[in-house]
Amino acid sequence: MSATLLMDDAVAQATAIRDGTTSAAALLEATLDAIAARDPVLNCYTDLRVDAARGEAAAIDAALARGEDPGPLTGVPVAVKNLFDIAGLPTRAGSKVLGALGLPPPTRDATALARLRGAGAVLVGALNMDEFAYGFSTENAHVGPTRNPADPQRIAGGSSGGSAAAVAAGLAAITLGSDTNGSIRVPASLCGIWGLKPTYGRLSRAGAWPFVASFDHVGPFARSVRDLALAYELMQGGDPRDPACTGRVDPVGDLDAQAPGLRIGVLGGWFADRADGQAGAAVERAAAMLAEGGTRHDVTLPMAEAARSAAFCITGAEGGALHLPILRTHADLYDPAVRDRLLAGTMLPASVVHHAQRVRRAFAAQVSAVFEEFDLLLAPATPVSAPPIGDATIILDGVEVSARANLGLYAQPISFVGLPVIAAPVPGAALPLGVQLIAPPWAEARLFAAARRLERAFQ
Amino acid sequence: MAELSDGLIDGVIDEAAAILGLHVLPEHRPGIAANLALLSRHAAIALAVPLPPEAEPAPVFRPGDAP
Repeated sequence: MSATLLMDDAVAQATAIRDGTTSAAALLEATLDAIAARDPVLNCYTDLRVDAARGEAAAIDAALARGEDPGPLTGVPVAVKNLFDIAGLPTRAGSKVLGALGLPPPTRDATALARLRGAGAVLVGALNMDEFAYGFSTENAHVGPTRNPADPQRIAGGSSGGSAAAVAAGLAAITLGSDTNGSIRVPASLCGIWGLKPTYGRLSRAGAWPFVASFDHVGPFARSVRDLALAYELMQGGDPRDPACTGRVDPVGDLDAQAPGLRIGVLGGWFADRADGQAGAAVERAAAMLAEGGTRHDVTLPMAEAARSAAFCITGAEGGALHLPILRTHADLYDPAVRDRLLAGTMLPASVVHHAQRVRRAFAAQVSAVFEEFDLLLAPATPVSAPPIGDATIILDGVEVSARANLGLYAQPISFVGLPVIAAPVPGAALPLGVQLIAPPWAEARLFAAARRLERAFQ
Repeated sequence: MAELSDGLIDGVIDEAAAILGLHVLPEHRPGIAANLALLSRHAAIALAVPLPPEAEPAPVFRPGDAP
């Protein structure tokens, strides 16, 4: 097996296995070797399925030998944030609490994971996260922080930090995460890889431990746009186990097709005021490339601050209410920072939450009007690149603020109204940082085409 | 919702805990208070958005599939 295959994308890996250049077993062993070498520092994985994965890789090689086609992810090593159900393995959701409840392990995989495995992927294990997905740093109080592959002294971002770092370090080709307020986009940005938060209701969340029903999404991380698109396409489809899943299926189409000029809107105001120089420069660079043959204008969303605050309140209240029965009996087993946020959330008046949900619809209408003039909106994914591990605060616009709450400053208003977003890495700086490519609801295909244009331009 | 001052927060925690059947341990109280103060600041920003009565929330509940 070539030394570079581990860092190639999933499509290249599956191709190499299908054409006999390597085998699923060999790629898995190389992945396990890389995990053994790097993960003691990076701390991406909380659970490894070594024997089970070896069995699955051998079965894929045997199927190929019989002339069968295991699918487009033949032998590709994948892994999931540890809030996704894996049949036979206790679901952690970054906590000790679920283990203490004495629940039996799930008997079936989360839907999104099942669809990847159904396409031939080999599940390597489960990945570190902020407890119950309530954070942006993956400094997990129980198993320690996931470290950023670009600089292990820095955070990977969160809450899907293990998922982002594993892909960035070549410890899996594709991973799954969840995004309620930015938990795919923030770590994708800080680790320098691609991440998709799909339209709300697009991909089934069944079997992913919930957090905030109004905003929860699941989505993939990948090292290439074609991998991201492939994983997304494989996971589309209805699912009666997720009441929010619409079942709407739209093909991505040809990523390299000649596209008409795009009307690019660069989000200012809320989305620019606190960004540091690198974040602003990344947006400008991406906007200039995407606007070639099209147009580029600045645009503001005047309700963005209120949207973010409304999202903050709904998050606290829905998350708190979800955890209330467990908090009554197991409060001491939570990460104290998460526990106190959830407990405070239970105490928010219902009238605030109801108003916040009405703000959500009003903001969606405002954004919808903006999309009559623009094809894509651009904003930083994070206001800064990865802060050092242990730093409780970051400096934004000269003001010291909580890192845990504010790394998602620009992500939160967008997920609030369920828009599809690709977090796109913009290379060229010392530390990774990404931008959000934001499309109207259900226009993921437009996002993928734009992301591919950026990928080609940056290669 | 008004931003909660330090003087008000203890009372809010006591009353909410009583309604919810929560036993708040003394060592949890400072963290809850800090987060409740933060939530109240965000609530004030959200509540400042004027909305007409017909501005309903977004979620649509689907009772099930047609037979």
